Amino acid sequence: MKKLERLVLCIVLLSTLSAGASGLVSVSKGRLEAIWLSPMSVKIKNQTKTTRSFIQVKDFKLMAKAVTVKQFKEFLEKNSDWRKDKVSGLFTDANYLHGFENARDNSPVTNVSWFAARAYCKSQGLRLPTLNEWEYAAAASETLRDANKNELFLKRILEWYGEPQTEQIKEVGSIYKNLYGAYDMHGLIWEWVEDFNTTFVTGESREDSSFNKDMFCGAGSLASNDKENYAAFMRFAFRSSLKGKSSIWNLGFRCAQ
Amino acid sequence: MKKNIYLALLIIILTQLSQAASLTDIKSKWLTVDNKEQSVSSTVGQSYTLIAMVYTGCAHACPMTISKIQRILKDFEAQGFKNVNVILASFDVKNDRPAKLKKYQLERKLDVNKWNFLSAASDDDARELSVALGISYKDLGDGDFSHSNAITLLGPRAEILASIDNLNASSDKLIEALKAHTAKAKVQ
Repeated sequence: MKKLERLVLCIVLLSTLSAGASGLVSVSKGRLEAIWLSPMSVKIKNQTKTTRSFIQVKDFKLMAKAVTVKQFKEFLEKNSDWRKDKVSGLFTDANYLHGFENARDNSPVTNVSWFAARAYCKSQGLRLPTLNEWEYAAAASETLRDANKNELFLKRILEWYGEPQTEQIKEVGSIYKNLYGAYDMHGLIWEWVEDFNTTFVTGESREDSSFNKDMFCGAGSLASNDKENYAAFMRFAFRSSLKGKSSIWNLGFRCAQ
Repeated sequence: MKKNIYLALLIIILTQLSQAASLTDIKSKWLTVDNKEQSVSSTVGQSYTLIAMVYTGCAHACPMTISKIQRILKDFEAQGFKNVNVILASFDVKNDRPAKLKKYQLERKLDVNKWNFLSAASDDDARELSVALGISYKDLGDGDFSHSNAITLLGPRAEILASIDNLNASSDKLIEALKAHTAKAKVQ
């Protein structure tokens, strides 16, 4: 009888361990001031008032750490369609998995396209986080749910953005752990989101991203009004420069549920 | 030794051919206006196709997208390319269901043998196609979308040949791609 109890306990322990191994942390629902969106104009009793924009996010789960080289190797073993020599030219560019063979197991996988990142998450029964989910989770510091206006937090992010670019990427989990238990939301790599192509940035030289009635239907969505949050603006500008097949040395991903 | 080099070159060429960007790699199923399930690439006939993404609730740019495509088709015809089909895939997954698209097609008097409206099964599928075509769009939540306007020319195997990314662009780029592709097809 004792033996059976022990066995049951053992199984229970193992199952909790494996839940931990899938590495998801819970992010509770809420709203976040979208400092990257321009204030909305609202007409109340013939008076136009500008209000701040917020995003609403439902409960979701996010991988505590970015997907590693080792995890992606395991994925490639089972999904040979995504190997460099077999993958579709619609889904990747020439840089796909560049340097992958020599990368450390515990480093985040980079040089992965949006399509590849998405396929990885699907293979795990997961998905890519939406842009709002990612920004919501990334706004948290070690102690605050919304640190987007916290000077120290912002300073740290900007320092990372300003760091000289070296090709040696640190290991996952090595930067910081935020309030939700998610590591390295800033400071390690840039990360793919499901709807990265919702971002329109004004004033870019790229032909297809300037605001023009011939090119866009509906109102504009982004005008970085808040100069304070240059950091968020940088992320949005970066995303708007991406294509689905882009593979970049410091762009990786994590999955959500 | 030399043989090996040629072999290596051949392999490189072959892999590049197999990696040509074709929409056949997008496996998602879409619905036609008659509720028939099919992939985007199977909607591409034996001929050339122009593909764009739209939403029919749009008051401004989408009718313009259609006019622009009609204009391109005329330019194509002037160059002797008559059998070019059109696919209009909607990213308004919630509202643009097959019946609504059918009504829209009839209202706009768009030939059902040439114009193919497609309705996505999920936001996931619409997002995938938009990214593959390099189109940006965002649901503004009030029935409107902000989106970029790209029109892409596909070959008979649903391969991406060329695209224009704004409605003011001339048809020249597409016509050149069309000519280049037919010239190549003749050589083969």
